[in-house]
Amino acid sequence: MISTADIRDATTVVLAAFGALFFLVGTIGLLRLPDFYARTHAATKCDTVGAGSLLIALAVFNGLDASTGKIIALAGLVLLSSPTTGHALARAAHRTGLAPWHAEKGRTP
Amino acid sequence: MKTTQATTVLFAFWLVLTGSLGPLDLALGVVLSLVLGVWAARFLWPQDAPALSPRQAVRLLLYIPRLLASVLMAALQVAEVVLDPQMPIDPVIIGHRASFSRAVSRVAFANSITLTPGTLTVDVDAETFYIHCLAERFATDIATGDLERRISHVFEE
Amino acid sequence: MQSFFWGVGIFLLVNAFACLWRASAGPTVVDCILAVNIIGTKTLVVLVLLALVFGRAMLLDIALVYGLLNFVITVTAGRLLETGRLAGDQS
Repeated sequence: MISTADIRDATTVVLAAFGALFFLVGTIGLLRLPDFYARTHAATKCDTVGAGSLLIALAVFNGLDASTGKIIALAGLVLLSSPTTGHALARAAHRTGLAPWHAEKGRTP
Repeated sequence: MKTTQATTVLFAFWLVLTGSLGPLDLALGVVLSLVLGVWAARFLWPQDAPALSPRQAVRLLLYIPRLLASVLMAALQVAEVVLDPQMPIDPVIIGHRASFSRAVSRVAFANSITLTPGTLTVDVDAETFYIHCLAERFATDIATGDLERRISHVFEE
Repeated sequence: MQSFFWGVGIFLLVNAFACLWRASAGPTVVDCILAVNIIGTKTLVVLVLLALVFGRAMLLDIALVYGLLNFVITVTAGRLLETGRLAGDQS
């Protein structure tokens, strides 16, 4: 028999695996992409989705109680702060004169 | 008005943090969020509060699912680029002129650009947004002004 | 589920160590700051995992403070790099 607990566990596993996969992609992007701006793409987007999906998975597992509110607040915090830190750092890089990498010139900064 | 909004948000955050409805907790929360709300409204946002009319608030709520979907698309697209052994990217920084009358719509526009696939807002001066694209084809949605119209629809009508 | 959570946590820690290489190698200062920010996000999720595994709600509060600090530290480091001082005007 499939109980509600089984459905809850299955949802948690699927969402958490999805999030962990995106964390892995973010890490590979951070190590592999050619320059800072491209790395910021990988870092902001993949980490937002990875952390968001993992935290929602944990909230689903936890069920309805006071801790779940905190986990949802954490997910919201990550969703809001991750693009903002991306902006702040990209602006700092741009204003200190870091030039982006171009494919045709093939040079690394 | 500003004070009420700030206090409400702070009190909601207090409820999340304490997670209890005891009378002492509630009283302490009300007092603290009032003090901090007054302080925030006077010193943190002295000139311009991003106030929304009820219709705009409803449109903002309707815009959020769309934004979440585009975050997911953006992450999938970055994953595709990163996991491709050839890494098909040709990054450029383009300047895009967009005029908004309120600061809150400029912020929303910049964040929406970041959260759409392959683009990242790098800098804003007055009306020009400098956007880093992983490849030029990702910028079409912004260049045609589609995104700009959507943001104006939410915040400026 | 406990072992699954342990697995996810260890996976995230391995990822964080891989990011540590970028934080030490650079090549620019912003790369280092970005890598540290990413490690902070992973740590936050690991803290929530630990809170569920050990049943300690206190770790969630620590995770909240950690997330807020992570955000503030990154923005401040970016601003310090950009303007050379911590208190700046709004421009």
